[in-house]
Amino acid sequence: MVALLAAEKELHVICDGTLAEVHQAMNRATDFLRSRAMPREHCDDLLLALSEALSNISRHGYHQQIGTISFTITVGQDAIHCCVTDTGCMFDPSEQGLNAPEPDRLQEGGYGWFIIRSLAAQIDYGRADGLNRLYFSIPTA
Amino acid sequence: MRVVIGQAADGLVITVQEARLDAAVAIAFKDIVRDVHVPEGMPVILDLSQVEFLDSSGLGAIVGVMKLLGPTRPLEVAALSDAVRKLFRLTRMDTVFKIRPYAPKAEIISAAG
Repeated sequence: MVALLAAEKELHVICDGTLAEVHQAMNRATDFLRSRAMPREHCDDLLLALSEALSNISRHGYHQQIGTISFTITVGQDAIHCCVTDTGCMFDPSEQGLNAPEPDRLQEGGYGWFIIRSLAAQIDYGRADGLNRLYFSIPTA
Repeated sequence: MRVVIGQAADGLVITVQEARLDAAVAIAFKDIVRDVHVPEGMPVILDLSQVEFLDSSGLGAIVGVMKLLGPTRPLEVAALSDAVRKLFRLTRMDTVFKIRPYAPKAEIISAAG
C-alpha cells in the first residue's frame, strides 16, 4: 500500500484489491480524516461510503482477477470528495441499492449501494479504457 | 480479531475487541462466535463498545450470528457508538435487534481469536 498526502487537504492511496489491504487503506483514510478539523459525523459518513465501495470492488470487481485500487479523498469547502478507480470487471450501479433491503428478511449482504446512496450527495460512475471510476461526495455544509 | 466472553446475570456477553468490524474481519468474527457454546434459552449480548467502525459486511456478520443462534438464544447489541448506531438506523436493523445503551457487568469466562 502507498499513501501520499498532498497539501494537507488530499490523501491519495493505492492498495491491492484484497480485503486485508482494503482494511489497512481504510485505517489510513481514518487517520487522515480524523486529523482534519471537521465534525466526526462527516468523517464517519465518508468512511462508511468508502468502505462499502472498496469492499464491493474487492469482492465483485476483483472476484476473478487481482488488481489494485486507487482512491483520493479531497476535503473541500462544502463537501468531502472521493474518487475511486480500479481495473476490475465493469458494473452498473444505476439499478443498485435504490431501495433498502427489508430488515425482517435478515439479509447478510446487499446493503452496500443503498448505504452509499443514502450518504452521498453526488454519485458518478464511468468506465473508460478498462478503468472503473467512481466519484461521490459527502456534503459538509 | 479477538473477542472476550463473559457471563452476566441476564445473558452471555461477547465483547468485540476490534476498532473496525469490516469485511476483512467479518468472517473471522462469525467463525469465532460460532464456536462459542451458548446454552439453550440464554440471551447473548454483543458488547460493541470498542467498535468505532462497522460497515455492512460487519453488520451482515452480526445478522449471520443472530441467525446461527436462532430464536431460542436471542442476540442483543450493546454500547453502540454514534457511527455504529447510524448504520443500524440506515439499514433499519434497529427494528430487528434489541439495543442496550451499555453492556451489563460480566464475569470473564474466556477469550477467543
